[in-house]
Amino acid sequence: MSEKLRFWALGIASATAGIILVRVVPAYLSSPGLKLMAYVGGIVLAISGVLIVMAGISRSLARS
Amino acid sequence: MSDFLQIFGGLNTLVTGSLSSALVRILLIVIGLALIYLCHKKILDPLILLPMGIGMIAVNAGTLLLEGGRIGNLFIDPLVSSQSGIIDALQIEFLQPVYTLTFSNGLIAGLIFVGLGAITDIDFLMATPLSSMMLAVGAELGTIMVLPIAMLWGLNLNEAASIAMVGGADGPMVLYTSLLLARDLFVPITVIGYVYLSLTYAGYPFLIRALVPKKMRGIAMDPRAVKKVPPAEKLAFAVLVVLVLSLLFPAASPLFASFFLGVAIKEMNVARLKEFVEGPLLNGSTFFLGLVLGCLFSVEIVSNTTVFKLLVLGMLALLLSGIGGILAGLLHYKLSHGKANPLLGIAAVSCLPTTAKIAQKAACEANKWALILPYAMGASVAGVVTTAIICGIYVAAVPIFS
Repeated sequence: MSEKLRFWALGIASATAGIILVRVVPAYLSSPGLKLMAYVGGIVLAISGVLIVMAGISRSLARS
Repeated sequence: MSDFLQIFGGLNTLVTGSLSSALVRILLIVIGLALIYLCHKKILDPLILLPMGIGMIAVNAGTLLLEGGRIGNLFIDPLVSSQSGIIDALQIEFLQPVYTLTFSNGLIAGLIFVGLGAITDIDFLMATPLSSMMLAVGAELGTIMVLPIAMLWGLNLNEAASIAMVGGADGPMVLYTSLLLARDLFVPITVIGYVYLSLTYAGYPFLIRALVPKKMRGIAMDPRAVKKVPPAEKLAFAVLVVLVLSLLFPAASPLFASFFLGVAIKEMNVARLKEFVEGPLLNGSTFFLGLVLGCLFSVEIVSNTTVFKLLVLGMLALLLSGIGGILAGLLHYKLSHGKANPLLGIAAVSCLPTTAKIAQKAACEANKWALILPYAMGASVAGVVTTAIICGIYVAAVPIFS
């Protein structure tokens, strides 16, 4: 897999997992504390995904 | 006797004040002495704890009767809030200008972050973003878990989020979050956070020995294998991160801006600025941070009834983050087919650069040729970024939920 593709794939996978945690999982949880944990965990994963994609973009920008 | 005591104000307030207050003062003086001794013995990191220890001793010994029979000191009045009270305090209390102008607005956190950014290499984070983030998210276990635990124990959401940030192991973030979310408890939470962070230097090695087998601790990692990332790429990354994260979490943007400003100065190699921020700015801010925190450790602050809960929850947050970090490190070890040292997980509990040094020290104890510091610093940086993100989430989301 090319390096650029790897960054995008990892980033999108992480962001998707984050979005699922934020949008889907809380509906199955009753405790507000657990819901908040799902939100926080999901947002961290989503942001990690964004950071990974940004690392890929920075690489392309620096090389161009 | 009373005339004699009036000459020596510190002794006077100790003898004539309430017994419980006198005992707490004596206890705090003893803790201050112990901190200095442990720093001298290199068991604790003296960078913050030495000025803190001196401050604790001085403020608790130097308590005197002030105007109107009020008991206080001439160091800081953190609880003063009226405009005229602040003006008076600025002219009387000797550390009040530092506190009012740099602490109560979070500036000191920003200054330290600029300095930390300038001494931080983000090569590892950029070369292996997924591993770094996996380690860092694992090392946030305490930051996430302690929030519901604190709420179950009776703290409100704002206070729970503030004390949970101790698990992020980043003093400036703890200061910043508690300042915005739990202003009434900002002083004890920050003080507890910093004291515990300094104690990780002594405590985490035990956690490592308990959870990571010696054979794994001694895994050597080739520092040349960290792929060098060109400075232009790191500069572009720093600018993009500030832009995107500030758009997402404006409340934490001063922290993002400060940290990545330091990174940008380093990567652009602006020699004079770099020299300034990584030397005088960082050292000066750290010194005043330690001294002011020590002087905040007075009876009025410690006697708050919530402090006991904060002490327990802060410890729990750091313990859980340490365990989460090590578990993530072990997962990283498995995924790398035994090539990665699991101690990188403990380094991901940010607390830059202390936990990276702890990881390196533990690796050297198991195998004197094991050099993992470049990797550990990378994991620590990932931890800082993740903690800043969680800080942004808490600061932005908690007021909505509460």
